[in-house]
Amino acid sequence: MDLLNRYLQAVKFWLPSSQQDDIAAELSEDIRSQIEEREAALGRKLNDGDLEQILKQRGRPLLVAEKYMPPKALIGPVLFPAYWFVLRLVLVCYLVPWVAVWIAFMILDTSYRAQHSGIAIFRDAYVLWMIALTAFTVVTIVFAVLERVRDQSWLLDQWSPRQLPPVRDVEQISRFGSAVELIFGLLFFGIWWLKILWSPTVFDSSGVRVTLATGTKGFLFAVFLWSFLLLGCANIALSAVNLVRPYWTRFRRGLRASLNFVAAIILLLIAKTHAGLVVSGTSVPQDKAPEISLYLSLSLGMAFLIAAIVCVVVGCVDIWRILSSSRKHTQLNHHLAV
Amino acid sequence: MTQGTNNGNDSLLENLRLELRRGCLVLAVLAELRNEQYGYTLRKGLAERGLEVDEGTLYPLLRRLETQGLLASEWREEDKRNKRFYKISRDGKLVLKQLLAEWQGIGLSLEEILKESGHGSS
Repeated sequence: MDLLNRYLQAVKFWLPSSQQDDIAAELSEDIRSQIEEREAALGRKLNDGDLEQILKQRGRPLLVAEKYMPPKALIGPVLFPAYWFVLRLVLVCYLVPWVAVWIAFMILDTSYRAQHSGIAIFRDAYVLWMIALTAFTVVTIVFAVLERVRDQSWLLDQWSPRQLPPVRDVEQISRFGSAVELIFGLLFFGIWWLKILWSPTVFDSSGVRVTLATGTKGFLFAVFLWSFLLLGCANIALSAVNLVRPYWTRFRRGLRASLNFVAAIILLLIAKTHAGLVVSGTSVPQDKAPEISLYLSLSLGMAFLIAAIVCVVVGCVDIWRILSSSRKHTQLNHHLAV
Repeated sequence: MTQGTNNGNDSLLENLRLELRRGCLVLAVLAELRNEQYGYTLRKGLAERGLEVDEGTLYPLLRRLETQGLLASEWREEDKRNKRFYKISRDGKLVLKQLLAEWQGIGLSLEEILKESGHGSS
């Protein structure tokens, strides 16, 4: 019976202390009844091997104890879909950009690559891992606290079908979005960007003057003027067509994807040139001007980098939508043929 | 059909079978405990009538039903051993009556549905 007592002790270990003795006594009685019945059938006392077989059949102590516990979850079924949604949001909008920016720096910035190669790469990986772990932990703790402190009946009862968002058609283009793109395109390419290329002044107001460094201006003018002009015109034309015909076609999606990929390449090339800005003016302290100029130039490079990543993501989404609509079309044709 | 598909179907069938039986188990336990019994004999009785249930399912269920006030239990000595005897309570009898009516209603509906789709027993 030593095996039986050891088994009962192991089961008791996992049970809440208020119920340990009661459950163990009933379990012990049930197993003893089974032993008696088996002994009567065999006509002899059970040996340790027989008892071991009976206990193994009952299952691991932890699993046996678990069946007596009330169902417990860190995050229950009501909040879990929202928790999962937030985790995915954090992954896509927070963690992926971190990794993308790090990869872009490693590829494009030779000085950064030199400082972060070799053993230092493990330090970067550790930092990225800690960022991911912190984000995951914070989201999980927030939802676990909500699970315990908040009455969730409002999630189940207080809703109306009228509050649900309208049916989304992924092929429908928002006219508002097209109008914004058109205005932004005209302002950005027609006025700001071309002005920068024709004149070295980026900003000049309240005694602060920001200009492109001489070498930078010449380089940008020579290499990127026409590509940006063409890209800008194509984007403006696409937005105008989308405004008039607000429904995606494969051609227009493909065109937008191509424009975004081309824009990403140009933006990455600009970021790689380390476009320089010079800050001057009466309101800027002379001794601080070089430091501010450097900071602004780095920020500009970072902005180009982020813009390039956004372009790649938008382009990939368009390609994915084209492929998925083709697949659906093929499946529909196949079903119709069948 | 491949071996993998067979295994998949077997496991699916087993899950569905367990799900179907789980609903009936409360009914069977309450009905069996119209006569006082302890856990082991209850399990044997159910198994003899074709409703095998493992102890890991039965004992937690008995505790839950007792907490809900549908069963009453007491420790008593029998054959020189302490055993916990369960019996249906007054509330339990009421619930059993209602559940039986529900069960018969489900049976009739299912019979009707199966008859319409040509799978009826008659």
